[in-house]
Amino acid sequence: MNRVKRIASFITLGMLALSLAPTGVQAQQAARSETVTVQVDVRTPVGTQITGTIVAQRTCSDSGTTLTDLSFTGMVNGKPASASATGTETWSGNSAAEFNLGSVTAWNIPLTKPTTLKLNIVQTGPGLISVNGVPVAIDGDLMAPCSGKTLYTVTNAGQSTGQIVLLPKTGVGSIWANPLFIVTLLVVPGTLMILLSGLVRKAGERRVTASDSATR
Amino acid sequence: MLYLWASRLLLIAGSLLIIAGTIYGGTISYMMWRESVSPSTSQVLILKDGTRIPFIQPTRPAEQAGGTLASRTQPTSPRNGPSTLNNPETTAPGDNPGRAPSHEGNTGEGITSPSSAYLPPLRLTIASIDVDLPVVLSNSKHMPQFKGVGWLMGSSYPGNAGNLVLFGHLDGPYATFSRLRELAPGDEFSVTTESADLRYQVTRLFDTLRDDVAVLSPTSGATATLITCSGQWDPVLGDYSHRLIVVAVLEPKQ
Repeated sequence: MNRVKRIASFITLGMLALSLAPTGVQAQQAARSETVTVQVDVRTPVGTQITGTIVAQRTCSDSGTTLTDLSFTGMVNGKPASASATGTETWSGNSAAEFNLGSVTAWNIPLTKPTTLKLNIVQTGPGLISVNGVPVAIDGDLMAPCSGKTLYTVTNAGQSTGQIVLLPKTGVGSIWANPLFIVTLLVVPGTLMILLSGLVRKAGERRVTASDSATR
Repeated sequence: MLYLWASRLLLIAGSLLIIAGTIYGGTISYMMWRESVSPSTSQVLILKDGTRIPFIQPTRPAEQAGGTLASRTQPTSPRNGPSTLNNPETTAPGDNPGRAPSHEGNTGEGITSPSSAYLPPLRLTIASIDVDLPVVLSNSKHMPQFKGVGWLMGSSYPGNAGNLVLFGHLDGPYATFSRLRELAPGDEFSVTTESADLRYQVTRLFDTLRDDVAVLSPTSGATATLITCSGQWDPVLGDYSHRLIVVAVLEPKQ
């Protein structure tokens, strides 16, 4: 179970780190900052659904290393979750980045809190990146820190375009209108009554037997 | 004998590596093809008549949202007016009762945005109906299972051009929007981000069918759409027949 949680938290932080991954451009920027926002909606191999927003405050520099403060706000399996961490990213060549998680400053996620983390992120094709070998879909291409692109969306890869045909279901209805509840309401008392009737019959028989014995 | 076993082990290990490599390579190739044909991160609204509207918001702040953006985000075909329950109490004054209300005319175009940053909504406050709740990114498959408001994935960022879609439960243990119908045109609510408190003003309310996804359509201006269930509960579908839609525009001069 711990292993499963560790994998899930690893993937969570992997998603966090996506906002840091650069491509192409070697670090040429002067020291400046930017805010990157990433919408994340992923389901891990162990079935954990993670949906939320990562806000990354990047501080770019000429040294080639970008310092980043990360925060995540969202849900894990429908329950509220939040976390914040700091990390650095370095890259070499095109479409490849290495992310190192320095410290986790807050962790309100029902998954194992990681202490250190190292991720290798590579753009493998249009709309597709690899995080430590795991393919992940991204809208368009990654961009180097402080090169202009500040909005990303990340989802599971290979699931195709999402189709919205219904508005969100925002009601549970009255319990009295639930067929399952009505069936339960009829069947459970009915079963209890049948069992009770057997007990009553047996009790009656015992009484008759006792009465007969007394008569004799 | 030892060599024979070593040879067999190497053969098996090599074969397994080749099989694993082929499967992994095949998977990556398939995903690359799939993402190039139909990206997983994209979404599309499918209207009742089959019209497909890409669920893409303008990626510029509202202050820059002009005619160019409007034409860029306009659906390829005219939006269907939502089917309504014709509830006069929830229709804005001046609406033609015989005409289904729609987002048309409520694009918030030209409104100046106080914020050009793309920051997610953190909190929704509607003082008039005692709503003061956290907001989290959500979608139809992953809804909040706590007292929170969902921010539809792919909808706009607060204070920016596009349609900011927020939804909440009408009833049940996580009910958040049970009093949404009490809102009226002119009422205000605020959406809080990390750096700003953005105020929206309600322009209209109406009921529509649960499959009227046109109400989610991107807008060229800065608008917000609040959604909760309405109508009759259908025990077979396990859903309400309608949705209550509250349309608002970002207030200028903040």
